[in-house]
Amino acid sequence: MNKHLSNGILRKYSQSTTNNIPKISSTLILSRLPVITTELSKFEKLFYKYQEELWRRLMWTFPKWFYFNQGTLAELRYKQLNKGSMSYDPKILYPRGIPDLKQGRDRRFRQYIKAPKPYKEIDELSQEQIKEIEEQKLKNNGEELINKDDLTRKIIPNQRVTKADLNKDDKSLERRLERTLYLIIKVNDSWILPTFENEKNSTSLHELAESGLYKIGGDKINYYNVSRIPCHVKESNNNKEYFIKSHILSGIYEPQDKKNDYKWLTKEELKTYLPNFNEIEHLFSEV
Amino acid sequence: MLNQWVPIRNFIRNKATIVGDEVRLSNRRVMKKIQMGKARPAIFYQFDQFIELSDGSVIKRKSQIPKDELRMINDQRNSIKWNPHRSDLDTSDLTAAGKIGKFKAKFAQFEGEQVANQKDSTPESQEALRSKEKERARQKDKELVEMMGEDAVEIVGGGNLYDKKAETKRRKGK
Repeated sequence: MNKHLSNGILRKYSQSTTNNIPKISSTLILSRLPVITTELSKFEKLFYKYQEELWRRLMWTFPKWFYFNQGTLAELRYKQLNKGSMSYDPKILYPRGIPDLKQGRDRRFRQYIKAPKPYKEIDELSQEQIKEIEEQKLKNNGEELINKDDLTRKIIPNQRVTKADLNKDDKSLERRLERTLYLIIKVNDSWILPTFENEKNSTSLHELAESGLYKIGGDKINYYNVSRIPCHVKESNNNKEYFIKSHILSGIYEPQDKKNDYKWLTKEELKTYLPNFNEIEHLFSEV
Repeated sequence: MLNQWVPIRNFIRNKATIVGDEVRLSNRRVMKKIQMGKARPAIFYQFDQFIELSDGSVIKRKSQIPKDELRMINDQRNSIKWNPHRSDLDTSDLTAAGKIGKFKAKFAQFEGEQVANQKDSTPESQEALRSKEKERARQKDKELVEMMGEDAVEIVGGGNLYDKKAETKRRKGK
């Protein structure tokens, strides 16, 4: 009986080694993480507005005496911007209620403080200065002249929509800043996630993915490998396709073979390109 | 067992004890008791603030500092500690972009040259330099007063400190 069993094991073992060696390949899910925060939904916007108003109603009086020393230029500038409300006079009739003054603030209302700025806003400029700026604009093709070396210039937030978005350039890493982008490449007229076959049969999965990426995309990529352990496996006809996740931190993907097309796409856009999207949908980020 | 009377210790703040005809209160400070749900957090005045980081990206935040805008010179975007892979960052002088770097750039001429000047300068030239410096300071003062407005009065610093002995003397004198 013992002989019988060992024979059976041997047969099974020898079968798997000789006939069914699985072909192992490593598929790279290379993502560019979001650069900016997502656009708020209508409900979220309303919620934050409500909270902000509530917060402002409960806010204490701004401690002017703490931030601005009496008799300093800073205090003078502050005073010019923020005129205190009228003091209470019992002889005067107040049809809209008696002012409740504390520290120069009417406590019946919310307080709005204007912070001193190192530059002047357009409504603070004189007519002549506005004219001058407009003349400069005309000279400079309709764009305002900004002195980049001036440390006190006004801070203008960058656009959420970039040039790549406007040009619909899906090869750029600077598109859809609020979403995660994934790299796909075109092989034999079909779009796939970059897949690399294990030819040497010796390297580990993440190293296989790395060498493959540098081979097709050049070595100007600074990337971060999330884990050595694959996040997904696809088995078919004795093939084992392991999925490795990593993020591109900086650099650029340059196809080494000019014929190879590539794209940086979001999850929704991948749906129309990848044939097996439904199978691996859960691997991609919603944001 | 259940029916047995159990004395419950009463927690009364600053409980008065009666000794004879006297009512004695403990000398502990009586804190106002904050009721459940009556506690209110400290909500300070806050400004909406734009922060421009050294690479040009802008962050919006709320802050108690009375400034609408802040521009960073040294931050996580150009610090070698946060960007070890960047070879374009100069690590030789970490204060180059900051206040000290600016100060050094501004007054670099006074570091070595002054010694050299003293050797080959005549008393007349030194006197001229000094008078020039004085004139510049006077001009700066004038500008400051103009900025403050005509009725501005300079604050006299170094006020009198509270002197307990002098105070008691003054009171007795009255």
